[in-house]
Amino acid sequence: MIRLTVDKLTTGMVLAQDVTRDDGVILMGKGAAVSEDAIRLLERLDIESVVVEGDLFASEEERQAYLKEAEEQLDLRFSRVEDDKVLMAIREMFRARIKKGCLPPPPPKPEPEETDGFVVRFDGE
Amino acid sequence: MVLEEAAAKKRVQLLKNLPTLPGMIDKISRAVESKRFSAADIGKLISRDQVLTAKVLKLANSAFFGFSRKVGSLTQALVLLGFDVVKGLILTSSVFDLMKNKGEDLWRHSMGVASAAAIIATEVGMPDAEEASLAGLLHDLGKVVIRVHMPDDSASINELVEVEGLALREAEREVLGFNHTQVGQWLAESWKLPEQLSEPIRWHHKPEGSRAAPQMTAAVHLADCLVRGFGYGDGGDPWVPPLDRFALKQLGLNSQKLENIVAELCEKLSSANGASMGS
Repeated sequence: MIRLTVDKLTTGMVLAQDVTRDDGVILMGKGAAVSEDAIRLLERLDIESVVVEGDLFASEEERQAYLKEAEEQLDLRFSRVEDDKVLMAIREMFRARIKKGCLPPPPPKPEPEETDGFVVRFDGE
Repeated sequence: MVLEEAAAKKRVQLLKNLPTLPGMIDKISRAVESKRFSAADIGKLISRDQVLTAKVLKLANSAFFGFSRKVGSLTQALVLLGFDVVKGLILTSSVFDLMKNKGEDLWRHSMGVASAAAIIATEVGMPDAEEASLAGLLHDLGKVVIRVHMPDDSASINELVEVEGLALREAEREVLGFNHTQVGQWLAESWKLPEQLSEPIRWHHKPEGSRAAPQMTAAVHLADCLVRGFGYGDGGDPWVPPLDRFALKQLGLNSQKLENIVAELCEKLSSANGASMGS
């Protein structure tokens, strides 16, 4: 499963976790298919992201290649502190997480998107 | 060099279009100090600026920040978080506005450090995890100013990082004679930020320099190392900086606590959780 921001949802995806409001009320249940109406509803309710079924990678090779790249990047970031035992321990903690698929998101593409679409209502002003 | 530094400090502090908010902050500070105003009055004062209000609330409620309760209004924010935190939120949202498209990566780095600092503060039992978030968010304030207000110098600095492989702070020193921690400190001074925020800004690369807020500074220092280590956002160069032993001692960390911190940080910042990654 993977967490996606609402703007990245497409119809046909399947929710892998309940979507709940802050007070715990379930808005959409696990297993529900994502429809256009559902996306609009989620946007209107200011839900930032939801968890859907599926995977980031099209194939196992793609996953392996991505993980290898991620480990290389990790080594590069720590390349100047290799004589520090504590930092090396931290590096290995991160490596273990990377292997479990816990990766930092790739750098954002420079999209000319200004307010990332959030709307706040003003009361009494 | 000393003279040049003084001149640079003056230049930074005189920057006109650096957040419009000092006026607002001043007004609010005075209201707070006079003690004749309630949180509701002050909330009203701030909420006259709707854009600012929206930004502050969005920031306060952002998943990254880790405030335990949803903040629905400025008055509530003032009551729950206190004036210093709200002031910091106002500053942050205004400062990073400057960066808009330019600084998405630095913004992410700062959000990452905010998360990490709060996680660290909680793990080691510091009483003020929310303030730690803010300190993390603001720690690279100086970089924003250098990028936005000294574009030529900024280009030379980036070149030194890319071509010569200098760490950003070294390149800044090479080009300017001072680095972003000093620039941040000058601003923090003129904005009268509390020491819990200004000292991490000034000393996050050299935590033993902090007199008034050593633990907060240590938390931000470690947070910076961890977020760079995880590779979240971009602090201006790709390398994990040296980890200061004084900071580790300040935090009283052992390997179990460190492991917990790393686990929670990965959980929070990983692409599978919260951040978008395309599909």
